[in-house]
Amino acid sequence: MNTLPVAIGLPYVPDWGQLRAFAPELWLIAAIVAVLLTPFFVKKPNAACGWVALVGLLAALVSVFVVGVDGTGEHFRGLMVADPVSVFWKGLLLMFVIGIVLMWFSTTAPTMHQGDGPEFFTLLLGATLGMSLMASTSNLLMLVIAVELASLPSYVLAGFRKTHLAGAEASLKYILFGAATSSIMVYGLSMLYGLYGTLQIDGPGGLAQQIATSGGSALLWMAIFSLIVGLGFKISAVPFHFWCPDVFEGASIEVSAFLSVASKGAGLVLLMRVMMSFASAQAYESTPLLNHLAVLLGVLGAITATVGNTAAFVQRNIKRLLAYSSIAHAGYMLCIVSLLVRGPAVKADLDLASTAAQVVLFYLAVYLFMNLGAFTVAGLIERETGTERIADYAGMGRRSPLMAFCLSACLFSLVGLPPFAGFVAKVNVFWALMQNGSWWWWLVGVIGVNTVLSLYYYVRVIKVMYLDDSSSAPIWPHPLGAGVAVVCAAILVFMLIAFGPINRLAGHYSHFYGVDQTTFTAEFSSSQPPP
Amino acid sequence: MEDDAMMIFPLAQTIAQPPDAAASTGLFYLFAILAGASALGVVLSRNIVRTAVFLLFTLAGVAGLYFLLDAEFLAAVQLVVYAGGTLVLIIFGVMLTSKSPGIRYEPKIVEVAVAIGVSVVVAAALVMAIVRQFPAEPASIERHPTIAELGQVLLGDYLIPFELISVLLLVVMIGAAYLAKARRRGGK
Amino acid sequence: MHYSIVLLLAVPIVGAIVGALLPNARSAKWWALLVSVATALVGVWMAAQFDWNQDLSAVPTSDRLARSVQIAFTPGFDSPLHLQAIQFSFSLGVDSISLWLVLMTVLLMPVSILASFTYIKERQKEFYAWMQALLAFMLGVFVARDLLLFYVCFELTLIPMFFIIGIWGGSERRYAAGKFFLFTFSGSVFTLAVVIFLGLAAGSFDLATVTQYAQYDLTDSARFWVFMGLAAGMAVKVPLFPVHTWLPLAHTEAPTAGSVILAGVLLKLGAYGLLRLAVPMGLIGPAGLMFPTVVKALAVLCIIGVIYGALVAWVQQDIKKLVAYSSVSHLGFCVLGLVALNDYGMQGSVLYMVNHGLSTGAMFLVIGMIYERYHTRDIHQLSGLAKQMPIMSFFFVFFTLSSIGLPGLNGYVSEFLTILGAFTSEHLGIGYGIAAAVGIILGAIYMLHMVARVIFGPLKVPHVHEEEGHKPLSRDLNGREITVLVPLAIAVVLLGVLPTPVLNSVLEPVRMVRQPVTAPIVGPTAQSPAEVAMVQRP
Repeated sequence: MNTLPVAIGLPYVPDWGQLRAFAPELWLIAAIVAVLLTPFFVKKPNAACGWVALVGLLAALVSVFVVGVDGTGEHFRGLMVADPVSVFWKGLLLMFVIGIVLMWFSTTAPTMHQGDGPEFFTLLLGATLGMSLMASTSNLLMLVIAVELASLPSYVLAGFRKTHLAGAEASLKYILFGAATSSIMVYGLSMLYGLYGTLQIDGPGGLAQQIATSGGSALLWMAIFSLIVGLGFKISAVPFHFWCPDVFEGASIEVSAFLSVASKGAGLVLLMRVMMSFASAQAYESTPLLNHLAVLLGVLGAITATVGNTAAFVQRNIKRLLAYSSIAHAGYMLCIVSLLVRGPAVKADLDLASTAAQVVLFYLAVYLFMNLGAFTVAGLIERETGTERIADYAGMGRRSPLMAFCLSACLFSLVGLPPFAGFVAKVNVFWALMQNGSWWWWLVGVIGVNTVLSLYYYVRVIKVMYLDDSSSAPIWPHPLGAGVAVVCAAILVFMLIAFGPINRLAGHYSHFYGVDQTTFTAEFSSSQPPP
Repeated sequence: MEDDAMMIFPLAQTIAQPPDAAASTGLFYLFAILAGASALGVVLSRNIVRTAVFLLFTLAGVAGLYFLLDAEFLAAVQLVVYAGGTLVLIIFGVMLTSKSPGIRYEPKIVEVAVAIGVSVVVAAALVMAIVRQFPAEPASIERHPTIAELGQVLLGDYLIPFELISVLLLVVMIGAAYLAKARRRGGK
Repeated sequence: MHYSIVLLLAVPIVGAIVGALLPNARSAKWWALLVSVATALVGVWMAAQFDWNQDLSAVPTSDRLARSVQIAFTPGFDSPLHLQAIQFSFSLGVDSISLWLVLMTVLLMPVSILASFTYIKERQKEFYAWMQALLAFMLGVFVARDLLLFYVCFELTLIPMFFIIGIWGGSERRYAAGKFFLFTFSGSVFTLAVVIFLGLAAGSFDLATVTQYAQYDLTDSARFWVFMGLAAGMAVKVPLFPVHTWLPLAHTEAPTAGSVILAGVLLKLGAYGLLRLAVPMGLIGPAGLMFPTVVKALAVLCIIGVIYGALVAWVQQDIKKLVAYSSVSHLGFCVLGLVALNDYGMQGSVLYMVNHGLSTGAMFLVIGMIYERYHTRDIHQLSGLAKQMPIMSFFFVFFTLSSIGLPGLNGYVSEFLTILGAFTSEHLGIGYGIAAAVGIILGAIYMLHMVARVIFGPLKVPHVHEEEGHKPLSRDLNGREITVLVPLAIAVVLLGVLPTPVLNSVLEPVRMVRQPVTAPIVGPTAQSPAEVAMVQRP
């Protein structure tokens, strides 16, 4: 026992080079602390906390741009990775959360009980931290922690309006669902650890490689199913979507908006990374495992899109409608993720693998603005009129032309009509699916039919706004919120012209570390940010 | 110093000797049945306090399994933290908050059918998977970690998760405090 | 590079934006008129620049579509869609087919705007802004030389029309607008899928490149699906028989100007799409026509549409609905001529597009004028209008005769040619021709039936309470309304007596539509060999 002090080596202190790649996360943690300290210095902390959070998020966003893809590689003894995809996602996420905070100022801020602000922003930033970590881990332990860090604050956020009965119920439903799915996920991940004795997903000796050499087994499938259950819950893929409409309806609007994009996006990016690792470790060969996985994800996506769209038909509440619409869009993106794990086509051209990632990233970028805009308008209208019913939007074209226009732009974009960015996103989806031919044609058909279905309920809202008469008084939305909505609508309109650069950007950032090594070193070895 | 270490790991010293195989198998089944049966009791019991007690036995059974796997630290933690701490807290919480312990959730017949169906499918899949896997080599995981090694790993290789969990706990604590605070304010 | 074609799109787009920002309704309507007239002048300027006498037969067929684009504008975008070097360009051009349709469009738009001056009473600024936007998008379809641009403009026409029907339409307007949108969008989703597929496979969206690719490199089954997908979107728009049900409702509920544009131009987008995309890309292979059975099936649908539309029109009580069903019948002729795939039929079809736009558009205008005065279109409530409104009655009968196909007026020539085309077609034949001819007779019956009831006979009009705040219209047509109708009447007569320039000018282009390309295309949007190699990598 004399050896005990000797066995304790030097503690591990990560150096600056490693921390630098995660500057955004550090800023977020700093912002959490700052938000918690704010009430000690100001009397009315709500707005102050909002500003502090905003500053923290801006700093994090700036650090994303400053650090860029410099830190690409494995960090912290392989627990975390920084790569272009994670950088792109963090940039999107932080931009989006900044939009959410601005939205909070213009919608919920006046009604929030004075003194609840610090808690609210702590939870918001905590969830953001978890979602940004989700994008940059390829280690099972970190994966679980990141998912929990994203989920647990979200549960409280969903029930943050304590005086709101539906909110409490939604929160409870969310917790129960989340607890069940994440316990299933952890159970499955423990099987992976038991089977292969490692927590690393990629890299030499990692799970992906061991799976590639040992082939699949029934237990492996159980583990993969459990992983998909856990991530499917975050993405709200059918049949793990039941929480989504209730939570969106029960939560206050900026929380719904936050969950609609950030939670799904983080889940998708994480799922993409894991699937990419599996596929690349098997050298994109057409193995049974990969083929089945592709079919599984494709079918999941198709079902998700169809269920989301058909359920949206009968919704009378704008938030529930947007909830089902977000489920449908998650389905479209899942269809694309199924391309990451396909067989022969990708092998012929490794670029194609990153094309699928590019499509998802571009879709997420567009989806972010569509949803932020739509939720912002819904929140502003709710603030002025106190209603979330679509029928009460009657005459909005006259009562608030600007809001009606912004919401229409967002909804048309969600359908995927030409002048708006959603069209380009959908063209990309079709394009990527067709490029692979074979059974992906079925997904093309399913998405096509779904687009028609979705048209019906999106246009119904526009119809109510412009075609139904109402004698209600005009409304004047909060200027800040109106600004957010206008910016979103403008981006959607102009992205048809500017989609080239953004798409190229998404393409440039569509590389996973340790997956498509060849393209990667060629493009990023010089550590130069892209032009 | 040595005495301290010896006192910390009295169990480790005894269990680390490979036990007799037959006894080990017998203990395994004992603990497994204890854990499984109590888990059933947790689900089936209508009384929430009884549920809590069943949960205690489940956790204890799992802890026993950990002992058998030579994960003595984990077993001790399981007993101390879950059985000793969390469960007591749960019982406290139930006693203090539940105004009507007799409140019961009556599931619809469809829900019961769906639940049973899903459970049966999952159980069947698991059993089949395990049976197929059975004669497989167990993964070579290093055994007999000492607390010192665990600590080293926690502050070494797994420093980042360790730190992040502290952030997670902070955030979750704030959330829990918020929920509690809100209730006291007498909202609906 | 010719700026006229860019101006053609830029003028109405800028006009729409400026119009939406104008301070009051009065300035907005005059602005809209000004913009539409300016667009018309640009269109005429373009026609003047156009080399009508060009001898296309002397041009090697390899230059086909590219050669027929005599006015082209193709700024180079460096493959903005970074996926596998997809070649999307803002490429514009016209040949004589599109030019005639452009001219028809720019003629119809000012008159329908002028006709709306008293008809549209609320939210006028919006209305005129949407009309100008619609003008730009419709012209965009006709002048697009890029498949994706074509599709974008094709879809874009939906949004203004949705609002025009939905806001300013009749009592059922919301339902009509929704149905219109849903039907046309459903069809065109399949078109989108095919458009992307073709662009992906051909490595470019340039029309000429895609056409050539589709004709030479597609397998038969792929070509079949390409045709079905393209035809799905176009058939709904035309509309062909089973998918026509949105049309009567939309036409009836739309405001006058909306009906005019809907019948006059939007339906032609479908026919034009069939001519420009579906036929050359889906039906023509290296050896010529590929799917005679599909063509026959299409022709049968046309004939069902002709007869069915005519019969249903016969029993309508609402004169606007009657004219709407007549459109179903007429467009049946138009597409029948198109799928005859011979000179007569296709020339007739192009002419039919123009003629139908003029005469049916004019019919809707006159009906709108009646409606503005009596607030009804019920055939039972109106009778003997000739006694009260002689000028109106003249125009009404005049355009009816044009629509029926009275020799000397425009309808006759095109109707005759399409049926002649069906008779002489290689793969259709005498049966199709006879069946279609029955449609002509039915057409005369239902139209004259209506004219006899409404214009002639004892005078009977409903009593009308004038709305407050609006000056009542004069009993017969006023100067503005006559100004609206005269240009159309002149065009009707001109095309009736002198159809030859139109027919001759479109002869070569329609031949090109139905002949396979014989060699690689070198055109304004062609790529350098290096680029070609890049996009065609496996």
